[in-house]
Amino acid sequence: MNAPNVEYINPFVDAASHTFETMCGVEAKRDKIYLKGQGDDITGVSGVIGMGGVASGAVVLNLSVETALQAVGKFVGEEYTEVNGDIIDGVGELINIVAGDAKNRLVKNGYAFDIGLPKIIVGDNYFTSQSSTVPCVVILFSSEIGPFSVEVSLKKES
Amino acid sequence: MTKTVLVVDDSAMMRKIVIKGINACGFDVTLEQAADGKEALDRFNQGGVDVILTDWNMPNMDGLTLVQEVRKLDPQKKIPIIMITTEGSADKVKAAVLAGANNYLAKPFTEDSLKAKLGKILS
Repeated sequence: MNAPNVEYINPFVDAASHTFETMCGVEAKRDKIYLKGQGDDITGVSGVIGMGGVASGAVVLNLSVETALQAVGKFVGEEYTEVNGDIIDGVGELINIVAGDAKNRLVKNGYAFDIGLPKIIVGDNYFTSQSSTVPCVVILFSSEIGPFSVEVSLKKES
Repeated sequence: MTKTVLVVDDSAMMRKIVIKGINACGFDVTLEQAADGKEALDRFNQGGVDVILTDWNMPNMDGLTLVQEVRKLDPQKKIPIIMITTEGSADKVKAAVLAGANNYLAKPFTEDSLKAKLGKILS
């Protein structure tokens, strides 16, 4: 497996922190960063968005149900008690803004990227699988509304 | 006279957030919504729209095309247009301005930055 390119990862750390702080009023501190293993499952609400350009792959924003309810609640200024259409739309917007902000930071650093349209997954113990040859970097964040993660899996185009 | 602000975004959630931001800023405006550029252009053609806040990436007609179409009808740029979008690179900002957008707000944005951009237009 190729080593992950740190220059592709740091913009997502900054973009996620910036997005949660400005759009949700939540301070998100970067916690652990590690390589995801094959078969590691996740749970809750995930926003997935494809990226293409000098590298291609996908970015996943994963929140527990409780954290998703609070994040979207703070984003919109309303209170939510269950996953509904607003939560799906809200997590879709959050991953869209995180990926867009990261893309702008990457472009500024000389890496041309485009982003696709977000997809949302809700459930228990599902897999967001990736190619065994492409490293998937998991960035954990801690916050007052609970932990969440951003997974970045990008393969440099030859 | 109260101004009418048209908020254009294909995401109902994002429209809700922009409207919440405008209301929080305390502007005395009438707020209307459109889900894409085509719907926005149809509404614009009916008259009475004073300001347009639009996303860039939308189905049917994107925000950049909407700006170009509005400017064909309003070449003197009497109707202010602000683009609110994740497309924040210098090239995109330049393209938006060349198309006729008056201002540009990159997501994520704070209520203060929205207030600053909109305040310049409404004051």
